[in-house]
Amino acid sequence: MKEFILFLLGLNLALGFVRIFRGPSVVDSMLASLLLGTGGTSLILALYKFTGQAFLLNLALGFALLAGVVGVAFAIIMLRDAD
Amino acid sequence: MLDIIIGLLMLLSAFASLHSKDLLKSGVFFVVFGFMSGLLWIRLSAPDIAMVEIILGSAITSILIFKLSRGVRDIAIKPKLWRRLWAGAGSLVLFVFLTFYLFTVREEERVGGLVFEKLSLSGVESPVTAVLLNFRGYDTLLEVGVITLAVIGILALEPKRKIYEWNDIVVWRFSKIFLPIIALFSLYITYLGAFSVGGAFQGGSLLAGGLAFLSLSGQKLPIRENPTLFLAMLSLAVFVAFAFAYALVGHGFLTYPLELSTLSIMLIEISICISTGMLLYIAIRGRL
Repeated sequence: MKEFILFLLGLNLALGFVRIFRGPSVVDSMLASLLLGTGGTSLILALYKFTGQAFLLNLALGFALLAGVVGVAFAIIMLRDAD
Repeated sequence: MLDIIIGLLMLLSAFASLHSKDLLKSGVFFVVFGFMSGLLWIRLSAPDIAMVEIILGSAITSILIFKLSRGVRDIAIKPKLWRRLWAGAGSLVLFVFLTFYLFTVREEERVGGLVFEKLSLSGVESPVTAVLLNFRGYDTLLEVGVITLAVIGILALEPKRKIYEWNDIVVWRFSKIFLPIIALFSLYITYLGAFSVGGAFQGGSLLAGGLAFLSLSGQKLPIRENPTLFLAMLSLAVFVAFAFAYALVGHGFLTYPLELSTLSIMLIEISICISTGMLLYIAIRGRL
């Protein structure tokens, strides 16, 4: 069961990666990479559940806090282009 | 199975990041590359590097890349063929040497055992922090000096760079709620460095992420230029002051007395956290 859940989350990452690779525009790629971040955070949380290493919780929280900032930075760069 | 998927994705994203045509797309692949290598470090049970890689390598560096990608869009940045071959040959030699070393080194020659043996003398419980700030404090002092110098270089370029101002009330209000949470969390991570996974550089880069959010909204910190510079130089000053103080008392350069070592390491860690945050904030903003 553990292996299956981890495999499923890994597959989720791989499928998201296809969209980043092929995404017609850069915006599609960025949105897919944010999705990858969410999937990866859930992967970290699943690893925490299975192994019980407490630092993984801090790691997931830290990344979740900063992933939004990356998205905002990207959006502002794109909006400047549009002007 | 999971490790194979993550490793493949990491290699693919590194390749794509180097070879995509658009610089912005390279940045997107760089985010993915940092995140994947962080996940791989978790699987290899190297939590400290995983934290640095995910927070600093993936998030903060890509904000910098996004910010810089506009300035260099038209300039051709393709390196020449012989230079690429040279870099490839160099890394191949390094890879072969490291692999050779990894399989021939004897168990008792590795430094890990030595660190755990002397851990009680360092004043902290986390082996990584003990190495970083006590056993090899000289390296960390020089690293702090290097990032301070790099930011002084960025400040020297200030008049040459076009700085975009983009006032956004939504991002600004949101960052006002967001910044205290990140600041609290970064202090917590810094404090945690003494006991388990965490540390000053990780906490400082989290703080820089919150400050970068503020600067992206077109606002700045409500402090003047001189205090900003002072806060950015704080860690170097504190570190050098501690080193010279103990040298003058007679303990030797950067050799903490045993009963004061926890206190001095904590003070240095907090100052490094604040300074790293301010330095990265200045680097992202491009001026004081």
